[in-house]
Amino acid sequence: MDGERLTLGKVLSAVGLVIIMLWTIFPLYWVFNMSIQTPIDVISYPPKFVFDPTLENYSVVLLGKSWLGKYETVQTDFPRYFLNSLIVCSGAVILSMLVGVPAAYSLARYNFRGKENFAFTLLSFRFAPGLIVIIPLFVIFRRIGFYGTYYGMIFAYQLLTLPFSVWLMRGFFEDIPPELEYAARIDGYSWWGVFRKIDLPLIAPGIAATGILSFIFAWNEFLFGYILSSDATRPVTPSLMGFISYEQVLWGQMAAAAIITLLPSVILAIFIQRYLVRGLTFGAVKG
Amino acid sequence: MAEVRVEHVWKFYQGEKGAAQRVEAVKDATFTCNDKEFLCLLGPSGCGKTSTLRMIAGLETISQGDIYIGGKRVNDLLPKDRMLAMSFESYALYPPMTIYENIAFPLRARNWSEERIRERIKEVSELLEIQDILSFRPAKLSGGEQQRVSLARALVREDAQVTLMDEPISHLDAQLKARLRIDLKRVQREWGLTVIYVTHDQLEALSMADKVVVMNLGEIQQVGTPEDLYQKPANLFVAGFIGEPPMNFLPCSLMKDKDHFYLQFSQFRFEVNSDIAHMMSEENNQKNNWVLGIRPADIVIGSSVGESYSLKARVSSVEHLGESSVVTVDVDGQQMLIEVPGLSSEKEGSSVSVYFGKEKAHIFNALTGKVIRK
Repeated sequence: MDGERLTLGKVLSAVGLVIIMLWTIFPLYWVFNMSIQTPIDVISYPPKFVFDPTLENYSVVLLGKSWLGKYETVQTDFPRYFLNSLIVCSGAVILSMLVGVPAAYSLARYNFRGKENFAFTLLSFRFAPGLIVIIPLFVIFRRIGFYGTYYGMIFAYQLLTLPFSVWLMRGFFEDIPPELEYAARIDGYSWWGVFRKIDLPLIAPGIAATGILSFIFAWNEFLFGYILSSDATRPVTPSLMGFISYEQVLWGQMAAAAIITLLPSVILAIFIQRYLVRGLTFGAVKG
Repeated sequence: MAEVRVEHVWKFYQGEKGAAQRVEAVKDATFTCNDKEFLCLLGPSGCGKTSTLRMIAGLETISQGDIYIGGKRVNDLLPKDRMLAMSFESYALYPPMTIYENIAFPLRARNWSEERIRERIKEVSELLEIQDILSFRPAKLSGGEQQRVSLARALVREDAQVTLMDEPISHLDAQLKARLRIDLKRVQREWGLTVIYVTHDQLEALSMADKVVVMNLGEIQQVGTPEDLYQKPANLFVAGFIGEPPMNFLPCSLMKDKDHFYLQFSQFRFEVNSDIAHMMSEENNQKNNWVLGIRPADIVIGSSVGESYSLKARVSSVEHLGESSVVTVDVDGQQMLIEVPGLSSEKEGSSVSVYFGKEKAHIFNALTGKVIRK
């Protein structure tokens, strides 16, 4: 009786998991479907599950080729936007690591006046929705000439990634026993030597995990990219809006662009999955 | 190797939240560790011994006072410039490195050649019997092995002026502890190391140290050889802290009967000669507030020895510890421990007379804790 129930429970939980998975995956599947359909198939009703797949949406998006009058298209410079996203997100991650690692270290190791208030204020940037700051940021950026520049974008994106990085890495540093540093200092190393030879190797998985998570956050950002970029610096996420033209929405090309946009996040997440979990559970496996 | 002089050193910590009250972790500590001497800082936890050690190491700032290593004032020197070696209670091994790399770490900091490092590590690892685990990482080792590696990393430094040790063998099992005590002492002698060793275990201090600094509540209680501490404790704290089982204390009053002075505990009288009585009354003009201290091993059951004091007592329990027994007796409501060699044949509940030599008794001023020296 008990065994039966257990199997029934197992079956139910498996069914439940499948349902949740379908629920989660279906939109992605649908977008992917759209990306390999012709414009006619995309808007056909009832929706088609069987059709002749085509890669032409991708070639239009990536190569900017127009379809020789067969279908309508808009000229988008998608590879450029992709590169913009890479530049801005990498820049934001590098900046938040350069500033965040020392900040996290000092929050973890030193006592100074207003330390907790400082840390909390930093975190509170994350409480407010970006909409609250975007208008003032826009006005300021226009005034000081940051609007539409890579520097400006990196600075704005860093607002998202830095607080997150500091808080995550602070935890990693706190997990390193201070005695390790004391020992190395007595062993004859300067502060910098200790940091480089003891702290950095220990915290490397944490830095990698934090960096990648920050990158994914930044990559998925839409609002700052939409409002603060010019055409030359537009990242991928707002660029997807470009497929909405006067006459119609170019669903197929937009879907293809969306799939390409997804790729870096998915690839990063898959490749560093184990690393990521290890980084995030760093404190649980003290040596 | 070099001598270490600690002169009037204080350590204050500012209270939490900027409170006005400051915590005094070390108060006016002064002692000298001579060249090639094994000095123990001994005291209960929180007595300031580790703070003192860390100030010598340079891991804590010195709030007030001076520390000299080899005649050079080191207050403002960084730890790396003080030429010390140290082993930590928490081992503090570097997790990503192998044991070999861990031990080589301080030598590499000083640009030793790899060949010289290899030879030196061989020597030290043989001493501590860790040759077989040199290729492992610290996480794979047992606590005892980690502690030995931590010791090895401190001992590998030939050039260290002073070797500091913070409870280096406290996490080992009793057998290994006993062996390492002997090994450490031997190495210190043979290599002529100057060692400052922090421990809360009086056995470690008494068995290894040339000189012991007993601390309590941030203050140095007594500095002396292990024999001094045991035979001539300077105050009640040292008397009670050193020795196992601990010294018996009897609260007494100083009385005068005609020309004779005596200390009275309950119905029992212990005569003291007039010189001591005068010293006592100079120290403390109150009649009460005296403590008579006597070590469990200095008490004899049943027969008097020379010029001795005697008490009538009732045996309340007998504990056999192998080579000796500890008999607990009750003297008018006051418990006393008596250490008897071999198996004691005393019966619980029986009445006994106990004796102790006059010269073995220690007299303390209960108000200040200070001993009255004869």
